[in-house]
Amino acid sequence: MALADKYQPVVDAANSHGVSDLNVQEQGGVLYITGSVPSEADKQAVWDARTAMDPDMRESDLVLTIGVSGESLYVVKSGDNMTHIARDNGVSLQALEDANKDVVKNPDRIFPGQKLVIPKAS
Amino acid sequence: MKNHIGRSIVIGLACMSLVFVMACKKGPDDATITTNVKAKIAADSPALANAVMISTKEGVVTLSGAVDSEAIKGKVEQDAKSVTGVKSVVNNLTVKPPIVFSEDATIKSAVMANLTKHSITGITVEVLNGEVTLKGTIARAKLQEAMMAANDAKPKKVINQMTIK
Repeated sequence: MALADKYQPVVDAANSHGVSDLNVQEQGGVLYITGSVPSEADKQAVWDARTAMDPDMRESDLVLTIGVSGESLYVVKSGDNMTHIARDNGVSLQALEDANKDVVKNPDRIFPGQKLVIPKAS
Repeated sequence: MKNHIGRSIVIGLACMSLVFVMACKKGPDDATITTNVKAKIAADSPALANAVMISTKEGVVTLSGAVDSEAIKGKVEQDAKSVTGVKSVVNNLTVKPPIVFSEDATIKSAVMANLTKHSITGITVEVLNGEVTLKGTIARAKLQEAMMAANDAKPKKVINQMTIK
């Protein structure tokens, strides 16, 4: 049984709280879980999963480094446009366009199913 | 004379049939092989089975994905080879680069800054070869934050020797 199996509940919590850039890697008898989640509340949820397994936090075989990016992912639906998405998510249109300039070449052309990064609210 | 020829023909036909049957005997199909390779890996570690991508074509199994060590890369290949019907294994698994840690002094200041951010006092921080040891007394309500403070500094290990009150 690898450490990744022992700490599967923590990995599951990260995945269900919008983690991006998740890396789970065992080295020298310690499991390193790193990644970024959108908010502090998400980070709290991942840590709660760890504490549930080990309330006194005495286990030294896990290093959990979760950053808070302030970003989340939005899946475009039919009828959406960048202006509305920005407004509905509390960010400026410019910020939304900047955060997605690598994948959205023309802000007037987004399509259902496309994944946009919603940057940290300004 | 007739009997000998007759018997030889029958024996000859029997041999050809046997060869034909043996050549036609099929092992498990590709989808079954893939399933069985996955199950073999999962028996040891379900998490590892999830990390490895397996595809099988005419009994040749190709493995891809990233694993933690050369030893694991080799073990997965052996697991695949041991499955019935596998003719050969193409091992395209990559080994993740090792994690590198900052200097002890860097880790220590990061832990201390994080503890301050969480308004935690009275905890001593020792860092040796990347391993952080926390000592002192901590209120249970602040325990998780103290551990977060240490983990966020990206240490090699965190040893919690704090007394929890």
